[in-house]
Amino acid sequence: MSEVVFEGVTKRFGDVTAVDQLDLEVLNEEFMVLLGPSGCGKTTALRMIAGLDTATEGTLRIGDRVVNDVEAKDRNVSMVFQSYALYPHMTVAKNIESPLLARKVRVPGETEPRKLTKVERAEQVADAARTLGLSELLGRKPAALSGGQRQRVALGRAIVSQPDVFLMDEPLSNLDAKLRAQTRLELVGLHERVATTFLYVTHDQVEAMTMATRIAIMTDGRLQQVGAPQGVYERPQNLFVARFIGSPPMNTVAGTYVVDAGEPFVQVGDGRFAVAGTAESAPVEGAKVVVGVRPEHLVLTGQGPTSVGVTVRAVEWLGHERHVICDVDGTSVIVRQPSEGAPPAIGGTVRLSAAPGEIHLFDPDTSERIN
Amino acid sequence: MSSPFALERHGETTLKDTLLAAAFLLPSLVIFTTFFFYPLYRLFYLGLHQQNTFGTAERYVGWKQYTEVLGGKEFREGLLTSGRYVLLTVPLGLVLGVTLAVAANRRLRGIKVFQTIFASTIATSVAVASVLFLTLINPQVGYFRDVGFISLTDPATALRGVALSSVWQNLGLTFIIVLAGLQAVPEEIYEAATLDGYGPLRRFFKVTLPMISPTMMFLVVVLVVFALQAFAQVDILTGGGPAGSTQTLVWRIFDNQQPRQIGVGAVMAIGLFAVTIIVTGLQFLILNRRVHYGN
Amino acid sequence: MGTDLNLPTWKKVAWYAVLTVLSVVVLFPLYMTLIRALSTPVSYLQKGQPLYPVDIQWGIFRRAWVEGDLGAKMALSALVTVTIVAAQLITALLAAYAFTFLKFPFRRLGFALFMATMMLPIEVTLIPNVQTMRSWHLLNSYPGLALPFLATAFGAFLIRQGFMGIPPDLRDASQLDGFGHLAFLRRVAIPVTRPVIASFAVISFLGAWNQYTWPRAVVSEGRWETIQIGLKSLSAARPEENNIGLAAAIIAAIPILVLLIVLQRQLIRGLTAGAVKG
Repeated sequence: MSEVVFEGVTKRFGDVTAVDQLDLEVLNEEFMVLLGPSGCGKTTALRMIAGLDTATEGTLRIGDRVVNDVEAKDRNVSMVFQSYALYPHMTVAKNIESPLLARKVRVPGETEPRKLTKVERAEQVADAARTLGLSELLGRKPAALSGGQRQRVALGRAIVSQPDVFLMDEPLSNLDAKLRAQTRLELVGLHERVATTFLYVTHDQVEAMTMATRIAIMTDGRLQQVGAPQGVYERPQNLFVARFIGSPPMNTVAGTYVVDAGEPFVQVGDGRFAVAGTAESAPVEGAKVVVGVRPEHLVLTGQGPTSVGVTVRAVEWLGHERHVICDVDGTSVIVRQPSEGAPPAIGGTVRLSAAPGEIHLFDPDTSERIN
Repeated sequence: MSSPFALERHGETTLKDTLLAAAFLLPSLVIFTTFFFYPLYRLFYLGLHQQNTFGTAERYVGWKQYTEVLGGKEFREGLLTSGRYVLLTVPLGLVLGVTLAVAANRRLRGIKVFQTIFASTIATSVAVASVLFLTLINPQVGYFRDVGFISLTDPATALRGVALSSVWQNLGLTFIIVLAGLQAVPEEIYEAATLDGYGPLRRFFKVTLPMISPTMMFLVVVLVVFALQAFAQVDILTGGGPAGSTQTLVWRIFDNQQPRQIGVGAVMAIGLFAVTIIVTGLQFLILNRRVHYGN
Repeated sequence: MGTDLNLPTWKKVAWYAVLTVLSVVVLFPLYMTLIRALSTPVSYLQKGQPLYPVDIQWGIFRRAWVEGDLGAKMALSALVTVTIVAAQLITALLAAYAFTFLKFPFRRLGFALFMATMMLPIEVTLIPNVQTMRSWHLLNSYPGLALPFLATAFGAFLIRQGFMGIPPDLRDASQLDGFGHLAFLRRVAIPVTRPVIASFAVISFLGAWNQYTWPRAVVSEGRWETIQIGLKSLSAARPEENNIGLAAAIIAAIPILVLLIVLQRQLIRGLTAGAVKG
């Protein structure tokens, strides 16, 4: 079993707290993505599982073992680095072989892990190379490979030791867009094939959304939300998550909560949106809230009781759709529309509305979700 | 127990690392202590004492030996000679080195041949260069024996003769280093200067020289230190003569190894050490201001 | 200034002329040496010191070799040099590794101490070191020639620069691969910084081979003279027959010249390590 568990894990470097009381459970065989902006602590968390950094406080578990004091090579994990970290002076074959030289590996049919013999190592290397389509390149050195090929060598090195957990630190960031899209699919395929726990770190929410079984969003060393991609997308728990997931990001404007004839609304600018009935923690009448609504959920309407007037500033054409960038009360709001029909006039005023279920309310002080 | 690699990000020292570091540094430290640090202490000690002719007895004379020697004629003249030697070898060496490097820093066919020729003197040791010039400036048979302002036997000009051999010998080193510095200057800077209307002379003084000033400063420091340590060339070319006009500091230290003078020699060695540090420090202070770093 | 090949022809010719003149100036001493080594001294003088050899004796090189015992001296120089280079490589590699990859107390102070030794050249520490050698009965001996130079702060500095250029990711990957310090040094650090190590080796070799002051101080018997000291002895012994001394100097210089032509890339990199950025 290869769950990964962070229990109250904190990491401090001098005065700086990189990871703050992280409680996270990565389930066996899942593809967990640690998502967040630079400096949020995701890489530090990954390195602590790898054994490259030690935890200042808290417990780290892999499977049923507490690994705080276990050396990296004995944790049975593998890591793919952002820069691939291939040994420049070694051939592809030797690079892939390197974890097998000093580490003990579990051999099928034997109870104790042991170091492999030369023949066994060569077999494993050949297998990994075949899986990743590297068999032709085994004699080359990294300098003679393309970026995509180098990345696959890094993957080869990771899979060859058959680890319990795969750790990946932004492995796609050095690839061009097309290759990135392709590799995303390959990684998901690899995950299914090896049926092993993946712990993947990135700042790119597209990667997270497309590959993860669950996403854990972090900022400032703290975990913000954990959940399946669609769940996190549809119900962000705080403003940070709301703004981080989704491209273009969720619109957020200031508003006031009002109740009119028993129905809840939020007043924004010169109009208001209808809001779905909130739960027990309904805000006070007249309370200031932050209103969040995704660009694809805003619709241009005619005059109506539940609409808000905005001024159109610009229109961006993206082929299949267009983004109408508007302004309300000094805040910028983006609306996604299909590219049909005439676009709204720039400088003109239009009215926007949205379905009540798509309006998210956040507390302006705590940033936490209200509804 | 933390990981075997204590990385910068850790900032933790470990016992394992410390023991290993001790083992790795031990060989160097043993050699350094025996042949660098202990001698430094020993020099101070020797300078405080005077030995008898056979080195069998010594008596404490105290710091006055320091003031006597460092203020005395022998050290002063040695310092002057070494100082003159620096002035004779460093500026000329730099100018020639820069000239060679600038001339050879262009794309012409066969330029590599010229570059190899200009660098060739680096293959000569001090001994080889000195032996060559021993004949070249030999008073009886030297090709340059009648040059007048350079000789090996006229007290007024012998130091110049010795200096000439050093200047020639250092050409290769100076050339290689300045050339590397020139080649590190991006092409665009010259193009921009040309577009600004700079002629070749202006380009050289306003663009080239400032851009290679870190390299030049490094060279100056190195050449000055070499010149202060001059010994072999004196030993081979003039043996200290004529009339002591080529007795550099190191030569005099070498000359004062007998037990009776060993205290004097030790003080002069300390003097050389101090002079080297002071001169190098001054160079850093003064020249650093005129050096242009970064782009 | 490394500019174009599209110079007008007259300019090209001018530059070639300048370069040729400079070459003549640089090579003149070597040229004259060759001529006078080949010439018979008396005849050469009688001819009024022309710019070509007079009464050529091709056998002069053989004579110099035999009379100066150059073979033995070069062999001794080679032995001492190889010892010094090998020892310096080992001590510098270990020291550089400690200062780069190991965390221990007072690391910065230790490094400063190391670098401080560069302020203590053999010219300054001569007297006490000679005393040490005398008291250990190592004057006129092979260890006496080599011992003070078995460690090097410059080498430690240079190689440390190289080690610091190793990407941290590579060290992380090695750690995961299970390489301890020695394995990392052997399998990764040294192979990756091979160019820097080679450059240092060339510099170290040159320094050791060309040494004069120390051998001069510790050697008084002819059979323990290194080639550099041998050159002095030979020229001093035959003031009238300067062609022998010159021939010996040529013999001593040629192998180094060849070696440096072959290893010029490493040499240049080693020399410019402190001087040029980028």
